[in-house]
Amino acid sequence: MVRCSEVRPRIALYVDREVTGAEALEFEAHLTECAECRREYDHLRGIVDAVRGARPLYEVPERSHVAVEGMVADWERRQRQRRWVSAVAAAAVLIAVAAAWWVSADRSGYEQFAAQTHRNYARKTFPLDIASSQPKVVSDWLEPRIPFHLTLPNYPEGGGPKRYALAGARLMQYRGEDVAYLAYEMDRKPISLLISSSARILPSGGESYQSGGLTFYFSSEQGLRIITWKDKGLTYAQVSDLDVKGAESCVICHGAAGERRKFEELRKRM
Amino acid sequence: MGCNASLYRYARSLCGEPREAEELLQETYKRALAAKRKPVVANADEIRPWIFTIMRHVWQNEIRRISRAKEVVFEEAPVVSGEYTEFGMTRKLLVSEVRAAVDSLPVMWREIIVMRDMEDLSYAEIAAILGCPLGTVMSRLARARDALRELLMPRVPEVRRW
Repeated sequence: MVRCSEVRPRIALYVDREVTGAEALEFEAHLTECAECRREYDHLRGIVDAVRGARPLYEVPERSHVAVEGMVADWERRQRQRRWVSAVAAAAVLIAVAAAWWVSADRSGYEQFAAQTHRNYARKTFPLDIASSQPKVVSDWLEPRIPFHLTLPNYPEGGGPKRYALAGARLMQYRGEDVAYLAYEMDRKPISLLISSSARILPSGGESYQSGGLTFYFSSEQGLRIITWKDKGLTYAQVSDLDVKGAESCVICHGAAGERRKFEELRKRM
Repeated sequence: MGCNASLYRYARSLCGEPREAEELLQETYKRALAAKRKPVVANADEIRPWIFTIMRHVWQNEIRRISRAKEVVFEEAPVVSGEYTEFGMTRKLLVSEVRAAVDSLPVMWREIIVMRDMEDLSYAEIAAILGCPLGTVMSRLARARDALRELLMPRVPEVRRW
């Protein structure tokens, strides 16, 4: 049995439902037996019930309701706009990243790299990793060393006289990307062909021409003719100092009837 | 944040005057909506301690601008819907009297009566809003009720439920 001295200070807690369970049951049991505590409880209960009976006490003015609802509606509208703007911003960031990647891709240096490589080879300061005139031998050597499949054709097709000869190959790196360097010779002059499968290495150069569904970039540098193009996922750069028009230099190798079509347009324009 | 009725009543308890309470209500909503971190709650009632605290801060910060006039402005008594039964008349009068009594209390007692007896906030929630210990809540509430008893007991019969 709890004592009055314990119950009195806690009457408000009971009235306010701040005590529950066993404590509340003890409290109720005491009230049924203690008139003094019961009177205290009734006094407090009376005033609390009177106050609570006056609920809500203050009514919200209609204009205040309208004002607050307007504020909340405005806020919700702004949140929706913000979410939309966030989505647009996220898309813009993605586009910017893609653009940065695109810009970082080599659009303005591959032809210069090819030209410098060709000069080094021509000066004999650039040894080949494999020296062979056999396309299959060079292809087999390259196969396990490069990230793309490359079968060197034995141009010109049809068994006609060869005006050029394969000299060999070397593996290179350009901006961290694998590049296969192929050396040819024609009229005792070197011809360089660089091939890469990297999406970051793109054809580049001075003027561009469309032909046979491909885009060729032509540029000249210190007496060298440089042609770059992309075909079937591979980026090519061909460099030589041959005294022929750009398109003609292609036709030398790709002289078969089926392939000549690719260069017909170029031959008309160059 | 669908608790503007509760919030308005608390604003009234702080300001004591309807116009000031409306301004405080709107300023509180403005601050609450602009808050970067809002509590995630299952229902509107659970947000009350957070938004009441904001309101109290706004009120404290702008207390000089908020009228604390001693003169109590009475609104028209709420009309009890339905027929004017004896009970209805009794209740209507009681609302007016209780409101007058509550309005006449000092703000520190008025706000605690509204939080506890109008809004059913727990002692712990009230303590969090006021930034004081539970014991302070209990003693302040007891004094506020004593004051109301002095004002209302001549008019209100004891309610016996035992």
